[in-house]
Amino acid sequence: MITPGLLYLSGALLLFLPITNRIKYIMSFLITAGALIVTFYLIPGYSLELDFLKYTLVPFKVDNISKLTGLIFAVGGMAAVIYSINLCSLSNLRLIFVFIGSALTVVFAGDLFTLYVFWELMTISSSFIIIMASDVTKKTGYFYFLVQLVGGLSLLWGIFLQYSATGNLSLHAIEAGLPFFMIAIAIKLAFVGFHTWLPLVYSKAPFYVAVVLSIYTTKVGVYVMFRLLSGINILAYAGLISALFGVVMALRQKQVLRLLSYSIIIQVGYMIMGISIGTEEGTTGAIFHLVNHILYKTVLFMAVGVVIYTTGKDSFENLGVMGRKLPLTSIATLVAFLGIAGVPFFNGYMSKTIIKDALHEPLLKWGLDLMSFGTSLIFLKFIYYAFFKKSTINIDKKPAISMQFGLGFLTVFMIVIGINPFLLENLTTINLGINYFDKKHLLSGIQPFLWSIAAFILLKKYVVKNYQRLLYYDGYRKMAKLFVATGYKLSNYHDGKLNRYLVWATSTLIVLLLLLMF
Amino acid sequence: MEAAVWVIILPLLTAFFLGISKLYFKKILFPLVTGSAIIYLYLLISVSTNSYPPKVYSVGGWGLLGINLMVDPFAAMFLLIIAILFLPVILFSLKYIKIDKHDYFILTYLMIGGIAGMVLTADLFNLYVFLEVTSLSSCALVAIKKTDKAIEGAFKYLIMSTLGSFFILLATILTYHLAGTLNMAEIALEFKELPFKLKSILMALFVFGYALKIGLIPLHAWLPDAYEDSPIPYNVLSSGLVMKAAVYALIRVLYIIFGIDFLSESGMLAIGVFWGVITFIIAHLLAFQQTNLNRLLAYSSIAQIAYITIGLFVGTDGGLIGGSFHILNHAIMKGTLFLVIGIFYYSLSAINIKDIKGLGYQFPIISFTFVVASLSIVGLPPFNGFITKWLIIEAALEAGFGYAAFFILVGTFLSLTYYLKVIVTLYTKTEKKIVIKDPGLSLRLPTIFLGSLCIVFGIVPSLPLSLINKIPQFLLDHSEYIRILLGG
Amino acid sequence: MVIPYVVVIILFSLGIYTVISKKNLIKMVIGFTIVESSLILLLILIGYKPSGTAPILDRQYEIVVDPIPQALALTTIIIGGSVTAVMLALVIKIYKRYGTLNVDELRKLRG
Repeated sequence: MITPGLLYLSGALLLFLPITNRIKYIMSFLITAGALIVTFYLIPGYSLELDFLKYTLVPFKVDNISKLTGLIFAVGGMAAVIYSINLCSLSNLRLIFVFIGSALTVVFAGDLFTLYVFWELMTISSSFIIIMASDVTKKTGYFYFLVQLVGGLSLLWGIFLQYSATGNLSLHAIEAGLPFFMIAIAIKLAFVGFHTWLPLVYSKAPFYVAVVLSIYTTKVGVYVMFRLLSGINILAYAGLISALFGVVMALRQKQVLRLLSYSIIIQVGYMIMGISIGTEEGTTGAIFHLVNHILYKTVLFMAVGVVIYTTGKDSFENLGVMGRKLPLTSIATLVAFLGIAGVPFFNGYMSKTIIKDALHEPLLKWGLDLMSFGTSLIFLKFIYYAFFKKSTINIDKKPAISMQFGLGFLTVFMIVIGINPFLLENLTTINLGINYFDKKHLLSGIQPFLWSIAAFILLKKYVVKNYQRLLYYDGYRKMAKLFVATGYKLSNYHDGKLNRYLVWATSTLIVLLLLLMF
Repeated sequence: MEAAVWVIILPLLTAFFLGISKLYFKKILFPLVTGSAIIYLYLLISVSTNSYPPKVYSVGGWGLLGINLMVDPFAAMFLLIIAILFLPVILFSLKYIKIDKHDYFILTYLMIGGIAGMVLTADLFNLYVFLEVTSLSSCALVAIKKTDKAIEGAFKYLIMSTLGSFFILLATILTYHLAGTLNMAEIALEFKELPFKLKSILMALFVFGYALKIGLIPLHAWLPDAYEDSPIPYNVLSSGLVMKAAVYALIRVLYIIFGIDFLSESGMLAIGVFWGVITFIIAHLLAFQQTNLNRLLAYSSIAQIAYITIGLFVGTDGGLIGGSFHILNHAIMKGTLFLVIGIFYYSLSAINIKDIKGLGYQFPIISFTFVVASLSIVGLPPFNGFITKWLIIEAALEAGFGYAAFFILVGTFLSLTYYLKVIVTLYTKTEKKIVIKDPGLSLRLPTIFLGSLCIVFGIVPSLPLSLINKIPQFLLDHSEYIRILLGG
Repeated sequence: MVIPYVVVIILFSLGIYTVISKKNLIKMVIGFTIVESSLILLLILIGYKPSGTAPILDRQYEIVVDPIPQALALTTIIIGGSVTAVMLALVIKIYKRYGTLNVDELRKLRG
C-alpha cells in the first residue's frame, strides 16, 4: 500500500530526472493530486509494521484524526505546490516535496522512532528551502536550523527517556521526560519565548517559502502535541498567555508577513487550549481548528504573496492594490478574514465554537473571547489598508495563473466548510452534538467581532499607527557569544609550542596514573 | 598459505615492488597499484566474510610459540573498512598526487600493511611493531609535500606519536616480564592472578600510549597540525584507518588482556566515558573556530572518535556494537568529506572556508555529497551517522551513563554549528570561480561512491550490522576468544 | 639485582625529561634515543639469568638466557634506529626552511 508521504518523497526523487518544465508541472500536479486521493481513501484502523534495528516500528497507522489532518495537509500541499511551482527553482521544489512528504509521514507515524526521523527530516528540508531560497536568507536559515535542531534533539532525548522508562517506542501519551517533549513542541509551536524564529523566517524568506512552511511547521507541532501531551490542563493557561502575547506583538508590526506570523502564534494558542482540556470535544475542536487555520492562514499568506509578487514589497501601504486591481485575491482575503475572525457561516466559527464549548473555567472562556477580539482587531487593520485606505500604488505585473488557482482552490474549501460545519464531523465520524446555528452560539460567536469593529473605529489612530521596534532582550545571541568566546579562548591555547603540548601529555599521564591507582 | 597472512604481506610486497619500479621501470606504477588494490579488495572481502566462527592462523607453523593471527568479527569489520576505503582512495590519489607519486604509494602501501597487521595479530609485541610501521609511514606521508607547514606538522606528529609508542613499548615489556609470554590469550590467563595495583599501572601505560595516537584531548594537539597541509587522500586514510587502528588496538588490549571485569572494577570504563565526553565537547568548540577546512575536519575527527570511545567504553553489548559501527560509519563519512575537500583543493586550490564560497552551484553533485556526509556526521536522520548515534546513546543510557548520552545530543548541536557554516558558505552565490584543473570522473566517482554509502547504511543498517552484531560475543567475554586462540 | 632496574628508571625519566624540557630539536631527538636505550636495557635485564649462556639448543648448556627478549631487543633497536633517522631527516628539513633549531620558532600551525 502506498502512503501519501511516500508518494511525495518519491516525487522528490523523480524530480531528479532530466525533465522539461511541462513535464515538471504535470508530474507535480499528478503527485499532489494522487496524494490527496490516496489520503481520502485511507481506511481508519489500518496499520503497517516494519522491523528496523531491533525494534518493531509502525511507520503507518491511520485513525480518524490522523486521516483528517492528513487530508488537510494534502489539500494544503496541493495548493501550495501549484501556487509556488512557477516561482521556485527545481532544487527548491524537490525540497518542498521532501518537506511535505515528511510532514505527511509524521501525521501517520505510529511510533516515536518514525516520528523523530521524519520530524528531523522536516527540519532539514525546510532549513535548506530557506537557505537555498535567496541570498538574504542564509543567516536566517542558519538560525532556523539551529533552533529547530534544539527542538528535535530535545524530542530525541525525551524519546530516549520514555523508551528507557517504558521499554517500547509506541506512540501514546508520554510517561517520562515530559519537560523535553514540552520544549520540543514549544519550539515547533513558536510558543512565547521560543517564538523568535517564526516571524524572522516568515518575513525574511521569499513569500512562497512562507506559504509552504506556514502550512506544516507549527501544525505538525500541534498534531504531535495532540498525540503526546493531550490533557495537561495547566497548559491551557500557557496557550492563553502565548496568544495574548501574539496579539500585542502583531499589533505593533509594520510588515504584513510579520503580522501574519504573530497571528499564527495566536491561532496556535486556541489549539493549545483545546488540546490541554483533553476531552474529546476539546481535542476535536483543536484539530478542526487546525484544519480551518491551515485554510485561512494559507489563503492570507498566498494573498499577501500575490501582493508582494505584483508590487514588490510587503508593507501595509502596498495592500491597497488588492481592492482595486486584484478582484479574485480580494474575495479570497475577505472570506479568510471573516473566517479567522470567527464570524458565523465562515469556517473559523465552527472550531472556535467547539473549543469554547469545551472550556469550563470562566477565566479561560473570557481569555478566549479576548483572543478572538484581538484577532479580529489585527485583521481589521489588514482589511483597512487593503480596502478602505486610499492608495496610489500600481501593480508591476499580473499574478501568475497558477498562483490564483492555488488561492481559489483553498477558498472553495473554506466556503464549503463555513456553510456546512458538519462536514468535518461527518468525515471523521465524530459526533459532538453541537448545534452551531442556534441563538446562543451565534451570539457568542459574533460578539467579539462586533466589539472589535467598535474598538477599531474608536481607537483607529492607535491601531493603525506605525510603532517603533521594541527593544528586546535576546538571550540566544548572548549564549552564542559565550559559545564563540569560549572556543576562541581554547583555540588560543594551541599556540604551536611543542613543549606545551608535551607537558599536557605528561600531566595527563600523571592524572591517569593517580586516577587508576586510587 | 592462508589468505589472512596475505592480507599483511600483499601491501608490503607491493610497496617493495613499487620501490623497484621507481628505480627501474617508472611506467608500471599504474597497473601495479591498481592491480594490487583490486586483488587486495578480493582478499579482504574473502577473509572478512570467513570470520565466523573466528579462525586462527599460526605464522610459520610454530603454534603457540610463534606469532598467531586471528580473524574474529571485530577484525573482520576493520578489514571491511579497509576494503571500503582503500580502492576509492587509491583511485583518487592516482590522479590527485602529482609529485613524488612513487614515494606516496610506497608509504601508503606500507601504512596499509601495518594497519592490517595491527588488526590481525594476536601477539602483543607484534602489535607494537606494526603500530610503529603504521605511525612512521603515516608520519612520512604527512611530510611528503615538503612545505613548511607539512614538515612542521610531521615533526610534531612524530614527536608525540613516538612518545606514545615508547610508553606502549614499556607496557609491552613489563607485560612480558609479568606474564612470561606475548600471546594475548596466555597473557590474559596469566593476568588473572596478578595483583590489582600492578595491573592498574600497566593499563594506565597502555591507555596513555594509545590515547596519544587516538588524539583524546589534551593529547590531541598534534592531530590538526598533521592534517593541515598533508595530501588529502592521506587524510582520508589517516582519519579513517590510522586513528581507528589505534582505537582498535586499545580496545583489543583492554578487553582481551585485562577483561571487562577488571575494567569496570578499576573504574577505567567510567574514566573512558568521561574522557570521551570532555574530548568531544572541547573538540566541537575548537572546530567552530577553524577557518582551514582540513583543521576543521581534524577537530571533527577528534570529536567523532570520542563518540567511538564512549561507545566502546560503555562496556555492554550495545555499546560495543554502536562504537564499532561508528568506526565504520565515521570512516565513510569523514572519507567523503575529505575527498570533497580534495576535489575543491585539486581544482581551485581552495582550502579555507571562504574559498569555497559559491561552489555549491559550480559543483552541484559533489556539493550535495558534502551536504549528505556532513548531515550524516552531525547525526541527523536518515543517514548512517544517526543510526550509530542512536545505538551509542541507547547503550550509554542502559549502562547508567546518562550524562554521556545527554551530552552526545549537545555535541550534535555543537557540530551542526560549524558544518552548517561550511554548507551555507558553499551555497552562497558569488561570481563564478575559475577552475584550474578539471577533477574528472576519477576524482568524482570515489567521492560519490563513499557518499552514497552514507545513505545506504542509514536506510539499511542491517547490512553491516549482521557482521557487527557478532563482535561482543568475542570481545566482551574474552574467554571465548582465548579458547579459540589457544586452539581449544 | 635492583641496581640495573634503577638505572633503567633513571635513564627513562631522564630521556622523557629531555624531550619535554629541551628547546633544541637535536636534544629532543637525543632524549628519545635515551628513552629507547633504557627500554632496550630493560629487555636485556628481563631475559638475563645469572651465569646463563647464549640460547643455543645444545645439551652442554644447561642455563640459557631467555631468547625472546633478545629478539625483541633487536627489533626495538631497528625500530628505534628508523624513528631516529626519520626524526633527524625532518630536523634537517626544518633547519633548511626555518633556519633554526629552536622548537619555539616552529609555530606556523596554531589554532
